[in-house]
Amino acid sequence: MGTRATAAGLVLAVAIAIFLAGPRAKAEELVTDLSQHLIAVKSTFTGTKLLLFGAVEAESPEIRALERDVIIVIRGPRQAKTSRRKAKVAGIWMNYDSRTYASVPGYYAILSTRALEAIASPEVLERHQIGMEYLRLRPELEEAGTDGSDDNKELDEAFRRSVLRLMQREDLYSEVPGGVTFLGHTLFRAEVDIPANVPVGNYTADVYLIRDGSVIHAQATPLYINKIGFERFVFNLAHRQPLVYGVVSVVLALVAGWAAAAIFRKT
Amino acid sequence: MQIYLPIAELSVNAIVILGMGGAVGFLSGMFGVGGGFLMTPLLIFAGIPPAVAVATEANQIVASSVSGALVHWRRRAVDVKMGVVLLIGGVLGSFLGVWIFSLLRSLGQVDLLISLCYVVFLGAIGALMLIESLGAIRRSRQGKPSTARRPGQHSWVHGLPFKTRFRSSKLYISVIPPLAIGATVGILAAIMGVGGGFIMVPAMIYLLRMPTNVVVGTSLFQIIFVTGLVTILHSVQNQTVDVVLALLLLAGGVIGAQFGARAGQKLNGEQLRALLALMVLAVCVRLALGLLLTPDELFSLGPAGASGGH
Repeated sequence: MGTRATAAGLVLAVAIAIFLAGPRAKAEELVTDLSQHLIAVKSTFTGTKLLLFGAVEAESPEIRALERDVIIVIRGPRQAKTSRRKAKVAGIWMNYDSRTYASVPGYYAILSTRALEAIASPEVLERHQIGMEYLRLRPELEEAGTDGSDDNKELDEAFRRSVLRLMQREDLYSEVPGGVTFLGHTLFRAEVDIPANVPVGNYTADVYLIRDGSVIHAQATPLYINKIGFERFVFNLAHRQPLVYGVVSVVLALVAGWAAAAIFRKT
Repeated sequence: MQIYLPIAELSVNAIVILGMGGAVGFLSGMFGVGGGFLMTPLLIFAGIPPAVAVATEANQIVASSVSGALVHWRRRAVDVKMGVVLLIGGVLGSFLGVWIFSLLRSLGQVDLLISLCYVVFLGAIGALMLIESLGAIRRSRQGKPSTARRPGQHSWVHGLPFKTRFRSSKLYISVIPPLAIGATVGILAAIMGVGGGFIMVPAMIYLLRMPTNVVVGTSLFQIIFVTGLVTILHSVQNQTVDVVLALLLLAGGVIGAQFGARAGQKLNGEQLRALLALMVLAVCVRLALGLLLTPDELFSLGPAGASGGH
């Protein structure tokens, strides 16, 4: 893969830059980059891989040897989503109640050097919304049955969990402890799967450097994911020009039906 | 070979979809039925969102009915005037059907609507076909000739106003029954993704008492336009027509239908119908179980305001 070769080259370039700049650095800082800032996912393809890499700058080699962790959080564009729950009504399982979330990240991947719980306290993770456990999802208030009683809190939690579970099933949410690996003392790298069903739009890759349970440096890198190819063209046409799309679909079917009749008439 | 369906927004195996198209095409060629009422549930079983399955199947039926209608057109076995009256009803029914569909989609109940319609219709038609074909098999074993009802007898249909003459069908009847039949079929096409031949053909024979030689051609003539309109309406209202899926199904279906037609000529008609009835009932039971058994996952997630997502 060409991107991997360029990425390796970039890692090397960063390493050299850090080696040259090393003695001047005051405290530990992050230097990070992505293999691509603009990803064009071919939907005929099964998705793509994104490589993140960086280095921890430090005052002296002794500090580097100390225990520190890196967490990478990639968040996709926010979307409004509705989770519906089935219940048995008159003997039939049907959608019974629902919660609508105005702002759900369409993609959410967490990679870390170790398990999140081992790296930082829940308070720290909560503050930075690191980890699915700490992802804030609030149902819209006007919805029936969100009056804040204990019963509803339990139900709200069940709905919240359903969003996380279903997004995970779609490979859109993931938590990968050990997904960030250090190459030596300063360099680290991580590889993220971008599946074909990712939403298009603006993403951010936040990299957190954590020592002794607290975030000592963070860096955000923007990322734009776009889909290209025939399938994308079809999707855009269906949503932007639905009438044209419908007419074209019917014409295609008419031609195909006529062609089939013509071909098999001869045989 | 994995292929990404742009509207269903999932990756499927192209060979599996072609195979499904081929299998249903084979059955429809063998039994002389449209196949929509088997294909839509199969697509749902394969994990395609029901709303997409219905709209896409309507698109595929346009193609399969054009092939069929052309054959009947060449034999002059199409009553165009009757077809147009059925079509006017069909247009009204399609608009009503798509409106109901969109309304229930926004309430999150469209999957239920589709399943319930299928369970009711497949159950009723499968049971009727099974009883009728088993009766026919029993009669033929006992050596009695099958007693088909004769056309030409008068019924309540002939008492209705707005009578008009349908020359090809040699009928002078009210336009109300064909309008009503057309409208029913239009609603079914919009909600279930079927051509509706399984309702229209018996209704034309037993209710309108049309001569059997023009029935199939006329019904196919109406189905082309109604499913075409339903495809466009679903595209505009719901954006649920997956043209990639439709083309895959179509390719498989066309080939399957040719082999099916040949196989059908070698087999006994009554036994074939009993077999089809059993298959229809099996699909009905499978859908009914989906409504009755506790699902593995109680929750489903979709874009806000619309059901039938992932």
